[in-house]
Amino acid sequence: MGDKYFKARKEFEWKRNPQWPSIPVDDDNNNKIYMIYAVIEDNPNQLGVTVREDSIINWGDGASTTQTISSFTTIHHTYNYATVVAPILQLPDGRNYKPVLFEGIIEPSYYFYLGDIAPGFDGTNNVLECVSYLGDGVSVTGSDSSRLLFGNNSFPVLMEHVKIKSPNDDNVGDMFRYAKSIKKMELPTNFFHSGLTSIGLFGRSASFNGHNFGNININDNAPSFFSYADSFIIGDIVFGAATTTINSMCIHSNNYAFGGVSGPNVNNATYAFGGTVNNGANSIGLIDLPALTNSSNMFRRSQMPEVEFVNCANITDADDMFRDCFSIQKIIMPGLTRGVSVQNNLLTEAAINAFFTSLGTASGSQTINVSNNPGAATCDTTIATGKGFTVIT
Amino acid sequence: MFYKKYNSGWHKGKNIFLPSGKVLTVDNKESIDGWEWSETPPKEYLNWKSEQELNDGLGDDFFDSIL
Repeated sequence: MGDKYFKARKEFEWKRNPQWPSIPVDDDNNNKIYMIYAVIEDNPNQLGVTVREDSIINWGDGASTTQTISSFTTIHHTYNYATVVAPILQLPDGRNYKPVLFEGIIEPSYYFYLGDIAPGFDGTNNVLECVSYLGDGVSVTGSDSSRLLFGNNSFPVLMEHVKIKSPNDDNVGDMFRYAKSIKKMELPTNFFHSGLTSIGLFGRSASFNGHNFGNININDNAPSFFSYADSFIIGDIVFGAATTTINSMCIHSNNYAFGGVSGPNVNNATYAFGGTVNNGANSIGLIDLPALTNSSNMFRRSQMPEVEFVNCANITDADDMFRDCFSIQKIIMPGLTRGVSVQNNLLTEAAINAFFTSLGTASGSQTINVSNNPGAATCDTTIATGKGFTVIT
Repeated sequence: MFYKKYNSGWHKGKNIFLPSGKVLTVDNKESIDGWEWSETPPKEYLNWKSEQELNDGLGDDFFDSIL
């Protein structure tokens, strides 16, 4: 049902700055990563990358560093704006910068981590473009084969384009955090594969310009990914057995669409698709979370027109589940035994009756509020009262 | 308007359809099952409502989630 209603901003055609250095084509050695780095006037211009021995970093200003340490260690470089030979360009905020081509030649199967593993010296917010040819484009398993980019202490706020050849093996946590300038993303089709066990803070506060991430498999618990993010599309999301809480998963995110959501053991979904600011989810598909017990604030402030669950029999807390929602035209909650409010929405008489029909038998004193909906005055309240619910119209 | 306090908040409504078949309306202001008619919002309800509005945008969840 997502495409029926959701009108995400389309990814507009990205125009690469012709004055940036060219990114070399893939040589199929599976060991290179390139970036366009902005050496900015009056900026520390300090970059850290974390690699193991036998990796070579050509920083793009004529300097080169060969990693000699056998452990996963950060090497640093400071660019000198005055001496870098490159055209002087301007960032959108008016600061002058000189673009340089960073090349990392990474020992195969080892990590490449853009940024310091400790806070304070990463400078990755100067990255304008990143193209990773690391990995063979297919494999996602094997020790030390994670290809982490833009994680933890590195925030690519200026990055306009990212292209990644190979998926990380198990961890995409923190990736693209604060990526506020993305215009084009090219990720491998199996980027979100079933082996991912860490996705926390992926995309946090990023603006994705309507990028469609496709289907997602995740077996992480409490995956607070896409929180505070803007304008993205996700296909079906399948949580594995390890995921029991999706509490605050997309909290405070804005203008986004989900396909179907399923997970056999998810019991806590508070604020999963909502928040107290922003518009939350604009569209969501079939929700199959049979173990769900706590759905309070699950869709608060969201704007999706249809909400259809497969099974709500185990929900024990639905307080404020649809608070500040105003767009719901269809709501189906099979087996729900607890009270819930869907007031101030767009439910017709037929839609309210279908909602009532989907309910289970009330567990004690429970109240359903359908007031201020187009069909409130004419709906058949006996469908719900016959199941023990009190109904507010 | 009818008001009813429950565990974590308040219900408010003009027309209340009870499982017993009874209907509370402006023409039947019967007090039943915790529902009470009040011409003006009860003070306790207003306090709760005020706290709810304070939480909008700057609630605990907001700060918890950015830590």
